[in-house]
Amino acid sequence: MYFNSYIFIFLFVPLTVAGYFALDHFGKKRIGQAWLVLMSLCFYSYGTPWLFFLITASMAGNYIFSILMKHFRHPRLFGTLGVVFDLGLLFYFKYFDFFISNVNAFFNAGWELKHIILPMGISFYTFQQISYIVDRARGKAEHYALLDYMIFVTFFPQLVAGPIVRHNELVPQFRDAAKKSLNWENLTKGSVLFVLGLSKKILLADMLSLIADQGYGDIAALDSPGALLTMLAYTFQIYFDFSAYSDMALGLGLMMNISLPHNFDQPYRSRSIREFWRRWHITLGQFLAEYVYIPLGGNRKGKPRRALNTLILFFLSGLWHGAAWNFVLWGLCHGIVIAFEDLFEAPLKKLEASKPGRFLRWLGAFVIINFSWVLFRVSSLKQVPQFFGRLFSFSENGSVSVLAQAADNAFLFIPVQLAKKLLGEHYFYVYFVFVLLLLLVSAVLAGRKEAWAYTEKGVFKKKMILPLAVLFFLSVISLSKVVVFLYSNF
Amino acid sequence: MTQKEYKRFFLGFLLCAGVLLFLAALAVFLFDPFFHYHGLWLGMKGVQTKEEFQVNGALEHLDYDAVLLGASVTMNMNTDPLDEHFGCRTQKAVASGAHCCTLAYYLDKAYQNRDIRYVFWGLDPDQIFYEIDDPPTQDQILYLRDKNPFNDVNYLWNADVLLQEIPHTAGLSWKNSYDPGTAYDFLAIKAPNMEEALATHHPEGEIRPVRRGTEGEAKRRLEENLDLIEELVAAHPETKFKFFFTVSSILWWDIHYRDGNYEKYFDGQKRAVERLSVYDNVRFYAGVFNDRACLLDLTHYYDYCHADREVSLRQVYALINDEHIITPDNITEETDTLRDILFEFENRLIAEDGDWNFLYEYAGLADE
Repeated sequence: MYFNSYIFIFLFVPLTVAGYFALDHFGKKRIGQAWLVLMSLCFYSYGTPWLFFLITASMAGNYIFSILMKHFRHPRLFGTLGVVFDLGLLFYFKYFDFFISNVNAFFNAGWELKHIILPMGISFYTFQQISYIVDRARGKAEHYALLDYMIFVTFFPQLVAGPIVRHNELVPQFRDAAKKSLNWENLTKGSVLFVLGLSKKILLADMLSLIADQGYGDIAALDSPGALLTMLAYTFQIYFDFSAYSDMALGLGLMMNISLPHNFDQPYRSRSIREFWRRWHITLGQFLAEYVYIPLGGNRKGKPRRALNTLILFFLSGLWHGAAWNFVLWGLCHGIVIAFEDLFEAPLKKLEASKPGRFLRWLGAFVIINFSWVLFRVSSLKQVPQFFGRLFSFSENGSVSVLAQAADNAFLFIPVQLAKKLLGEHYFYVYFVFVLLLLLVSAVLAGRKEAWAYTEKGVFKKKMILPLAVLFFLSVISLSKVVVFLYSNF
Repeated sequence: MTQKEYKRFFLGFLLCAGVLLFLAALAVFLFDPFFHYHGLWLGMKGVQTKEEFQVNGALEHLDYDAVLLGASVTMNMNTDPLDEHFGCRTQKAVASGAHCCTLAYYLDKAYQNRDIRYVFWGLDPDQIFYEIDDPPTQDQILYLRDKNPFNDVNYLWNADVLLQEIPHTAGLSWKNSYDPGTAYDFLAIKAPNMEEALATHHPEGEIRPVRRGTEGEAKRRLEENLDLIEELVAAHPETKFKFFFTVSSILWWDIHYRDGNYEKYFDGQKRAVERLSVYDNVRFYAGVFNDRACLLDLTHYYDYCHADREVSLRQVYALINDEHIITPDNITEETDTLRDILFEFENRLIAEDGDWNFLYEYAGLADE
């Protein structure tokens, strides 16, 4: 089930939240938690029942290793086995075909692909469970009651596309009796955050995707301005798409008095790639730092080793995002830039002393981020030189016009009809104006505070009700043909 | 802010959003551009431009006593002359790439709702060779076909319906500039163009062995499809069934010359005539399906397959004038004519070394 669906918004959420608080009202707190687990499992396996068995098996495996660690010594052994179990599941469902196709490519093996369907959100809940198993092995986590463990893994707001939540961030909140009762402040803040996220996804990300999909769908037809527009559209699309999902997840959690960790903090304001990763998908960065980078030695073993550790970290980050070489290249690209940033730390810091210097650093980082999203978005590595070839062809063939018209949507129908009357054959300027506005709004919003920062303040005036309701209304009526969330495929 | 103030804000938001959503649903219900709830009122003219969304509702709620069935190649046929000549009101029940069972489903639906005097059935060659499958149930439009009131939210709260379909439908209706006979006409989308027609043609290089429709799987599918049609014909002797072979350009036949299917299609046409002509309420028309000019003049085509209004109108008049009737006795002759034109075309193509430019010689042929 997707957040951006009628059934989720109008049936699932009201039923789940009302059921949770109603059970609390009648003093059935543990049953309330069980209700959340049950609804979360329904959310996950809706339309694809076998996912229920997969996530149950995954949870059961990890929970058994936790029991073994509780009753026997050798936490390192069981911890290792637990991680192998998790990575094995992830490898099979996410990387098996990638592995086979590479073996075939390098060794002419001719092994058959299994065409395994990637289960939604497997990367997210597997990483969460790895963090728990490793913490158990390190003696940093207690063995939880089954229901606590199940809510930690399945809690639906963060199940499919994060944020990646640590057990010690979530379980104590569910144990806190004070957090079980209906709290109008949290319900309101959560709802507002959900609506802001929903509208960001539908009214911005999905509109931008019309342009990006058209551009990346026919790279050969692009000229330089067209490639630039395509690249920018995707840069904003992926940010609004993913951060919108995180906003909605945070909002949903808050409705039930659960605080989830922030995942974004104005990433496109970063002045370096290292800073970008402190602001983008924050919980993944934290996970990889704690469970990969630091165990590898982090930055404690000299500069060459630090650079190597960074590259390993970003190689894994790329691979986590997708089982294809373009994702690996994307990750490595970021890793290499960060290694250089570390190497030239002193002169780069000097640059920050002046305003133009800071601007230059921001520009440099933003350009690198944009270029690297090309690696992320293409459907094969072959398209990378093709895209950059078009970007730096310094040619003009009117592809911007095609891209602008690809952004056609129901909201433009009446403006276009009016423009046809007023401007005749020049009516398509409406599309240019729309695209320009879309990019402008995107740039302004990307530079402003995250939605969670606004709602955290919690000062809602009466005059905000109508605009908020209109945003919700426009988002809901756009639901029937919106695209799926990009990050649930990872 | 106090808990009470938050509560007021939250409930105020719910109320506002609820009112907006209610008004949207009300507007969709009243204008109902896909005829899901009711027939025409408020001065609406029954504007039909999206067949997959509208045919089902139109068959249920609009007024008609004749049905034009067919795939996309029948969409451009203007039904006004048919209505005028036969004194009926024809409803188009068309679907892109329609399988025979889809059309049978539509016809069933029509019989459930109306008394049908005429059925004009565009029998394109591949229609009767598809596997019999379930009636169309594409997920995206299931809400228009089933009786589940809950999935109607897809229709009632739909930006395309609210901001595009309703203004479009109301605009055309109230301006009185819509002719229902031109429902689903391609001209609303684009104009015919020979260059574009040629640009859509990507034939295979190799020529595959000829396949027949009289053997194996093809025969089974053909007979099953004809069973389906025959059942409808036999069950409704009160209805006059006028089957006609649809016309496609020579480029379409070129594709099937190369994939080896053209003889299969001739076999299918022959078998359809043999099986269905035995019924008194059935008549078969060749129309312009083997008309040299209609096949070769690509200035009348949108792509390698779909002809424009003019060619379609000739098809309509063939039905009206009762001309070019096909019987089991002359069907072989009719398909021979088409085969000859196809072979002549292929030979010329070889002689021209694969250069399509000779087709410009035929431009304007259909207008003469």
